[in-house]
Amino acid sequence: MIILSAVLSKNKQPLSIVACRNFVSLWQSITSWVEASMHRILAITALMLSILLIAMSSAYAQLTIEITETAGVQDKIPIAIVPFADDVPGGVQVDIAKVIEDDLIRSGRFSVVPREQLPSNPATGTEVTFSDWRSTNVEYLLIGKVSGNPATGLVVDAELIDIVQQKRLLVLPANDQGQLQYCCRYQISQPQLRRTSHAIANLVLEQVYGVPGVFDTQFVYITSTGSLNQQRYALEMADIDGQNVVRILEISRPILSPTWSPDGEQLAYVSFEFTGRSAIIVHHLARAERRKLISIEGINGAPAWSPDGRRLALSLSHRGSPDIYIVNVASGQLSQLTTSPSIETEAAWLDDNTIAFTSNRSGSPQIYRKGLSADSKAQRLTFEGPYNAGATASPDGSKIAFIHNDDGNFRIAVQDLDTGVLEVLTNGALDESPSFSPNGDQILFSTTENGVDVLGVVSVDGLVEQRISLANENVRDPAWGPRR
Amino acid sequence: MKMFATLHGDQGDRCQGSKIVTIVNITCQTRYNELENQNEVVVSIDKLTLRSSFVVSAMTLGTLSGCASFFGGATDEVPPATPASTSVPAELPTPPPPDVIPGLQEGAESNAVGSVTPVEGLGNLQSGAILGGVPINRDSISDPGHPLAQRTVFFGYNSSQLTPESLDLIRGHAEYLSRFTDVRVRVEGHTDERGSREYNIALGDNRARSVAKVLELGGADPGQFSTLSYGEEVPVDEGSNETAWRRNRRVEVVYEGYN
Repeated sequence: MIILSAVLSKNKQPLSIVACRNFVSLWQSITSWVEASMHRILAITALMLSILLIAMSSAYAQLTIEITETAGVQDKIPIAIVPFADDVPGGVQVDIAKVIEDDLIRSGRFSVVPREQLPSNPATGTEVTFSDWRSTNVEYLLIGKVSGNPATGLVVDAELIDIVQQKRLLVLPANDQGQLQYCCRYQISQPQLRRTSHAIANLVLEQVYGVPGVFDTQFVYITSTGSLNQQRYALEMADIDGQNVVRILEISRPILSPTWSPDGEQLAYVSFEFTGRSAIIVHHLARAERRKLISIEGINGAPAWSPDGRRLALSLSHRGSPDIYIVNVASGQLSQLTTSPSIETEAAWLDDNTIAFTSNRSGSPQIYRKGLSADSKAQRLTFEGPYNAGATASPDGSKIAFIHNDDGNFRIAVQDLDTGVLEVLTNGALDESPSFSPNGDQILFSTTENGVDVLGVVSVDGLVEQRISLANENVRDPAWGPRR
Repeated sequence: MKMFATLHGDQGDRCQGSKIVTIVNITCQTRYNELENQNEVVVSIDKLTLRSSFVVSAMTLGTLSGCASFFGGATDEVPPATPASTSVPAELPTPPPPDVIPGLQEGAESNAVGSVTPVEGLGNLQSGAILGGVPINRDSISDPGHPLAQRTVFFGYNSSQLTPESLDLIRGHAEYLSRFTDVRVRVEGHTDERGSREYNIALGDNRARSVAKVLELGGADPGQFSTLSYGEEVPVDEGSNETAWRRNRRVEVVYEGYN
């Protein structure tokens, strides 16, 4: 319960942002969340399950993240990140510059100057002496400071400076007094320091590479521990940098296929907690409410939330072979989408009216595309190799990532739907469960290392790869959450 | 290719004088198995009404003969289909398994378990071939030495096809269920760890439904069994090698209240 109240508090106390255009949308989403909550309470009519939620504890094993392959990026951008100055009584609990540094290093696209090699430690743009940096190869400089009081609120200021062009970046329009403002100022409380640091890292990535950062997003995954017949399974959530692990559910039977609602408020997943039948559970994170969406004879599997958030695609086999159905999340109303007597499962939404899915109608599993209208014919998308399954769609619907049998090894491949070109991104033997980052730039997946399930993150260009592991636990079946 | 075989005949003492009218919709299909680099013939039986499981054997044999043209060049060596009206030979070879993978007849009526007409009383099968003729009584499933103590059947890679031995075992469980109608089982399908988790759930479901269909054909009431697929989630062998994968590709018949 404590976990969930922690999640709730994040929503209730939005980051207070001054003069930072990137967070206008965050404000709007938070405001709309509050309004929408009122209405959604009315929509919850289904059976409320007994809550199996576990109280939050910091004792959970920490995720370890390491970069396994960075040689691919030839020209990493050299950046210096000066430790943020602070005049906060009692000091600041989070090393903001370190959090940003870790984010940028994990992106694989930056080289960060070691702190001891910094020629000077400016805290504001006016304190920067460009000649200090001439002897270094640094192209960008990130500086900032924290002020205020932990009891009443903190203010974080950050600035990005282009050393090569000798100018201050992220300049916002002049205020009423005609003064230029240098982004960004965050008015926050102490617990929001980490997320604020990620937000600053997002800005740096976007400014330098033109790709909006996703350093402040979260992901969910399944862990399992224990030997055969004594397994414990857990559904956990963490920040994408591996911090703030939250255990959402722990049971003694398998959990799989977690999928996020597009607004990030709910998860759907498959649980075997009920004897004799699997079930698809819809779980509202902030309200700690679980409801059994469907649990009927045969499989209840492969939930996938529609982009508009109102429907789930899922797979059922009560009429014979597994087929894909669309269910209205609020009303529970089902409609059958595929009727072929072969296996049809693993729907992924390309847009609100089109899905990709796996079928073995050709004799081996391959990926197809089909519209939701009754007269829409399935079109085969994959032709390379004897096994292509488990597709997930990029956020813009232009690509799919899936499991591809690459000469006996099961690896993550990505295929552009316009060109049809397939590219294998990973080099494991048992890679599965791909999930795109919300900016479409990276893919989170599960793999194995020394017989243990671990997660990997690979950039869509295949150049950067990370491993995410848990000590003494298997971690698998990840799903990258939406923007916050 | 589709065959419609209508078998009429009086099976005499084997079936205790009951008249048998059997209508079968059998599909033979050849397909290229990319994973094993070979052609395979798949036979699916859609509907049948029968009084003795021996008829299943006879029909399967006949069907496979009818499928012979799918084996290129091998046609001559395959005997002609068993005439429908002749009596069933006393010693039938163990039939190759009927493949009940749905999906080979595009647009065909769903071959759901529930659409198969249940078999009525199996008569004097205890003297027949099932489980080598080992008698079955109520306590058989509690007896570790009885053939019914074996509750697991195994499958080939990416396949839901039952081997002859598996078919015999499942028919034994069907026979048990048909006699002790208060007993219920759960048919749990599993796969190896390779490939997609949810596709494996679907594959395990196909395997479980293959077994469930044989249970029903063998006389179990549909109310006596349900299927559940765990996909790759619950291995019996956590290794990542051919042996482990073979052990994990399985269906377990779980007697409720007995395990």
